[in-house]
Amino acid sequence: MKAVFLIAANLMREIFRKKDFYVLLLLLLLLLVYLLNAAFFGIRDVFRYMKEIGLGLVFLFSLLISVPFAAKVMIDEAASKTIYALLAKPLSRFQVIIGKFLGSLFVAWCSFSFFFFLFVLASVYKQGVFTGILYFQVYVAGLCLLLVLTAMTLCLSVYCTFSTTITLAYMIYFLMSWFGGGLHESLYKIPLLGQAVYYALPHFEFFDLRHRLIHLWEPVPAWVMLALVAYACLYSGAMLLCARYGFNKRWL
Amino acid sequence: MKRIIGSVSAAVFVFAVLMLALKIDVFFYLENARSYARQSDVLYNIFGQLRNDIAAILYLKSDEYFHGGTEHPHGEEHTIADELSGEHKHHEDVPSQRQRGKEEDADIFLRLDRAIHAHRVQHLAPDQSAEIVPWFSLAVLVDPEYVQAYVVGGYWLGMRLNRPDEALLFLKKGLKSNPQAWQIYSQIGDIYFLAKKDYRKAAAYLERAYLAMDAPDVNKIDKKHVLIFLATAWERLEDYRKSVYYYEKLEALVPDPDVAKKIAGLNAQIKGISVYGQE
Repeated sequence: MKAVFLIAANLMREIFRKKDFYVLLLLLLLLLVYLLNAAFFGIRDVFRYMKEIGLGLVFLFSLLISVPFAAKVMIDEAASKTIYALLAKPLSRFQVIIGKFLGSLFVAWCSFSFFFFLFVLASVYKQGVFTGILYFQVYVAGLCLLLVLTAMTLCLSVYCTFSTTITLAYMIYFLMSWFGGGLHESLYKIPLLGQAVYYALPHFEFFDLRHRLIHLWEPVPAWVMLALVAYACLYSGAMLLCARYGFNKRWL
Repeated sequence: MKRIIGSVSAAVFVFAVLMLALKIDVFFYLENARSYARQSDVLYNIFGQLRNDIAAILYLKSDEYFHGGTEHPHGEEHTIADELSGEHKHHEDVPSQRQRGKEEDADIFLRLDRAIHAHRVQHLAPDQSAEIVPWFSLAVLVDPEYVQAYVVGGYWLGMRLNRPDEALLFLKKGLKSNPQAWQIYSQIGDIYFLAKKDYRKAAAYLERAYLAMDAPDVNKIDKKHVLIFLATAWERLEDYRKSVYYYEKLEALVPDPDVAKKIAGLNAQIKGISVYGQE
């Protein structure tokens, strides 16, 4: 277990070395300041547009950091042949994958947390009200989303090249986020296969609670949050097992 | 193998993006059909349509906000602006309010999706109505030729949010990019008439609107709206001859006994004035 954390810790430092993280953080800060100061027709007590655009940017920037990072961790090791040195150590292949996954996940969560914290500050400053439970739920859902996305990207990276991994990861993410909600109507028409495909696809749309925060809907019940966390854990676990299978087959 | 997967996934991605773009394009084309001249311009269709689509997405955000963050039930429209203040019957008939089916009860994914995304459709409270305004501004920032965004934004600012000066500024900015848009002239006229009570300016803008309404695609209801306000504005300014002129246009467009009576009354008044003038 210590070896797994060592691999992860090595990757964790990357977030503070990455220039793109600082660039995106600064860009987010500038955009939030602009949104805070924007006054439409002299009306100052509107805040939903700021929350919508701000949250959209937080999720987008987190994706821009997490997907390429998770995509390259295994591929870089293979390309630089350091994977052989790693495999020569008393480590199982699955431990390597778990270590890489934890490191990538930390980078994704860390960047999302920084971005989200900035957004919360701006949002509370603009709105003047802190609806803690809604912010918490959106934050947890965001972490779950990144958990699934990181695992899925890592899994893809075992089977595909860097560019293919990124293309597929973004494509699956955006298509499922936009159309995942309406998929069951068409897939359930095919009795067993359609239902199986519906269950097998990563339902990123489940983690999108932004509407609740923007439009001040009531928080989701506790069972929904628990179901989201459980789904994220199960799906990412399945992705890691899939990655393990692929990794065992390759680079021998 | 990797190359094949890469090529196939890239091809699928490009295809999906193209199909999506086409779908969005067709949707917004049907939603907001623009002038024939613009649609037939090849360069405009290649480069400009994306801008229109983004502007339309931003504009539709205002509708989503007005319905409390939910999609408005399909097939139902708010046709009369004054009805907007109340809650509508069709709002109760959206999936979030429907009885759950047995299939949904048994399927955890459907239940989860519903628990996360479903919400009753409800109009924004009057004190929160200003929340929709930024989207009009952003829509015309992306596409300054988006007439509908100017008109609806102007209506909200001038009539609902009691900010006629800001509404007039917004609409006049719209006129710079769309000098032939009768809808904007009409909305400016309405605001001068109803909010500012400046009937002379209202009449001036409504006359411009009426002159610009000569296109065959302008429907009778819009023409009727402009003519009623125009005739009434001249009547309030006590220029009865002009008022009769526009009432007669209205009568010719949509025959109505009340309008005929109005014309007779105004003609009597004109005769009385002229007789009095001769004496």
